Amino acid sequence: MSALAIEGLSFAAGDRILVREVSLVLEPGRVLGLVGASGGGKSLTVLAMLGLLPRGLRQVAGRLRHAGRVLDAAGIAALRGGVVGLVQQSPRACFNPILTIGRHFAETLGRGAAPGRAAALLAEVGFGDPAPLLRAYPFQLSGGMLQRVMLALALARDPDFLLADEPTTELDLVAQAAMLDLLERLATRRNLGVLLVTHDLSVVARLAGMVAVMQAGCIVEQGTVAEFFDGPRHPASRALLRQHLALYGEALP
Amino acid sequence: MSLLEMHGLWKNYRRGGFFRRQPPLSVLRDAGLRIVAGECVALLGASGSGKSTLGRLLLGLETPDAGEVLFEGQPLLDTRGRMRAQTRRSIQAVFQDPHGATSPRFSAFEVVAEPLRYAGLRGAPLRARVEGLAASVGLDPSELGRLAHRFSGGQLQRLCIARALAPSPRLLLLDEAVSSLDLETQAQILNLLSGLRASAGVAFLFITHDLRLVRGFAQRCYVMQDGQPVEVAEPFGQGPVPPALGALRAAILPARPRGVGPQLVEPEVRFRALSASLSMTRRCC
Repeated sequence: MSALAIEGLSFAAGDRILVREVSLVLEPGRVLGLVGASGGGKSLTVLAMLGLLPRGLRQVAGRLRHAGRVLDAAGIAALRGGVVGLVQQSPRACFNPILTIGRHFAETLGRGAAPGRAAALLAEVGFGDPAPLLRAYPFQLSGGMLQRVMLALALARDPDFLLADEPTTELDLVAQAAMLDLLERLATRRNLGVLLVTHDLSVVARLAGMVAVMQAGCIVEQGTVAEFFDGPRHPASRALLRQHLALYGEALP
Repeated sequence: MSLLEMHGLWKNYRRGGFFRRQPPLSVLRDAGLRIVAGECVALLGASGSGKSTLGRLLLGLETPDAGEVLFEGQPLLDTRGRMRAQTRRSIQAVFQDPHGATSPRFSAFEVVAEPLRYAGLRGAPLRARVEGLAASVGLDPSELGRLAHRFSGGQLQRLCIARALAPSPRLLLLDEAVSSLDLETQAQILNLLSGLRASAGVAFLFITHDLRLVRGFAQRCYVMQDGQPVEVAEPFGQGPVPPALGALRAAILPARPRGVGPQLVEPEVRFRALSASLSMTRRCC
């Protein structure tokens, strides 16, 4: 059983608890949606899974378990890249503006990488002709293209899990639909366990099998997507779904 | 008379560096647009379709290669590319990224006060005006002393709206102004804007790629097709629509997962449901 789980994770800034007793399980081949209004602690939870909590925050409780084994700090750090890949929200901020895309791949893959590996990865995320792309600088690509490059980088070391933090929020609808199609294909082909963090319930409806709702640092509801859309129980979930359906001109059932 | 009229606009961007010239990128081709005082006009389009370029032309940040922009019947820019101070005050903008649009060193008060200082306001009248603007966008005036970047994205965007409204504009450009906000904040900001439009009589050009936001908010709708805004009478109707709008429609994700609730899988079917509820206004919670 090679699941990645966080159990009872809490962390605080000074005396203020920001995230309280969050437990999530990622399983290979499954997509778990993590939804909630902004400021609820979704992104911090993702960073905590990689041991990348910002300075000033400290973990006060909880642990990370991978394949049945509880991980210490070094174990969590060892997950990065090889076991867990990360895709973040703003593609433009995540690239070094003075390095070409090829250099970004060289840095991620390390020296022993096979030549053509970067091109193969770019082809996998849907670039028909990757060679000129490797010579390009980040500012020469559109947001949607950079987001796909970031996905290719996250997958470069063949991770088992992918943490996708608002992967389509800054993309337009057409690019978003393409990106979600791609994520679905890759998750199936590579048997990835995906944590999909979003505030857009239509993204969850499109891709996720399970969903967890986060509000003010707590998971208030967790279940299958069908249960959630059929009858959300918690007031925060109901509010989210009501706003979402209002966009489509529907009322809450 | 129209508040703003653009016609016959052409705009190319130069590409490539000094050593490697590339053919220019043609963004706008014979583009035109009209906004009447007090109305809300939506401009839809995918990324790279030229909608923000049109917005920048409207703000006078770019000059067109050909064509003219008229504001209240007068050319927006004079022959030397300058804009009258009165016109500059009358056209304001709110952009997508509120953090990029505000100085990290400014307090919330300073962000809103900056344009008013140029208008010559000082001391107690300035403070009263800033507090009034903050209250009108639903911010607590007692919080104005905090650094602007300590606010959440939604609050900071409200602050940007307050700043844009400070010089009492006639036209407000909303360039993806709610696109990076969460659903609840989106609904709140759109409601707030609708209210402000009614009370302040300001016209909006609402630029977005998300067709779902247009319903119940905009009165007229243009879609960018081949470098031109094309007016669409009924963006949610069943009649023929420009291909660019068709693509935007098809890209709308389903409201519910497959196999749950009312099954509306095909985009066109989805749209029939949308258009059926066209009269329904946005609800805020």
